[in-house]
Amino acid sequence: MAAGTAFDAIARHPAFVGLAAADVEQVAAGCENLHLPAGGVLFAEGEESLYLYVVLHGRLRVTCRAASGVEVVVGESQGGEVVGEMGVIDGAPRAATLTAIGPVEVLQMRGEFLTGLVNGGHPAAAALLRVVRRQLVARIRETDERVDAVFESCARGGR
Amino acid sequence: MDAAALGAVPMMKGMPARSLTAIAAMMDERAYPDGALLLQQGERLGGVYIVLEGEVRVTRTLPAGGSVSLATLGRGAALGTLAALDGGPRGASVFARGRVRCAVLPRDAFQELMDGRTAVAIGFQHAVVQGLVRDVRATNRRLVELASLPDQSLSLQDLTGRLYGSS
Repeated sequence: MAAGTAFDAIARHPAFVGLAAADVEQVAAGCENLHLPAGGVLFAEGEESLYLYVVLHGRLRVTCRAASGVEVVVGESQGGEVVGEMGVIDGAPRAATLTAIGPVEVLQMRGEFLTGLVNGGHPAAAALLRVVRRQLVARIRETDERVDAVFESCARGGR
Repeated sequence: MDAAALGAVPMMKGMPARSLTAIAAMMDERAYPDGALLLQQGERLGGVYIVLEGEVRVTRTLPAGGSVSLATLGRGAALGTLAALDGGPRGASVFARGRVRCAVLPRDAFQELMDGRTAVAIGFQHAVVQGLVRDVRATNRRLVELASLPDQSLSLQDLTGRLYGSS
């Protein structure tokens, strides 16, 4: 049943459109469906990065601790996005805490499973890496824009 | 270019020899003297550069004037992936520090690898994502500092210090 749910979720996910059923089945075998209630923590800053997650439903708040020790909200993740991928890719601990805003459903995949897909040249790896790539590029661009805006406003004496 | 030279860079670590040969065949090798400009901030549609030897300095010109040094990168660093991926302008300029040798992947060849579903393409996609993760970690730190800036006004120098680590 659990595997069937993962299979359906992957087959329906836009990132995996066009993937053969046999390939979807292989990916589903390495995934687990996870449900979080509102306020539930998917992972916390500083923890070891063991899994990456595909968000199926709901939204998560992304928070980090600044150098001053203040906890700040740096963003939100929602359905369709992949989260927790950075630590899985570079082996570093979690850089942020992700907390469910309402009920959340995610697909959980072990880091080693992704590595296996990559090393095996599995088409699902290409699909996952594409989503991750887009997200990372958008995040870098967005941050650069926000930083530039603050500098501009500072130069005009607005800050 | 030489597949062995490409295989020696950390980004390509563990990539099978035949994948290296395939990717190396798409690349050109270029040499730069000290101080030479490799990539220009704002430029579009360029290729991706992998540092084979030497060091490069990455600097960003701020809209308010002045520039900040973002990083000094060495062998194995991949440069220009962001602009190659989204077709947007380059976010920073890159200069040679001392003599530098690079492997250059033209943008169309890069695109082909990004769209591919072969083992070679997927291995390279993974290497690119690893480079992006490194960049996101650096920008995330700025995002967190940005969100925790005090309400009172900061001087440009203080702002640069807080966001880019030194003034």
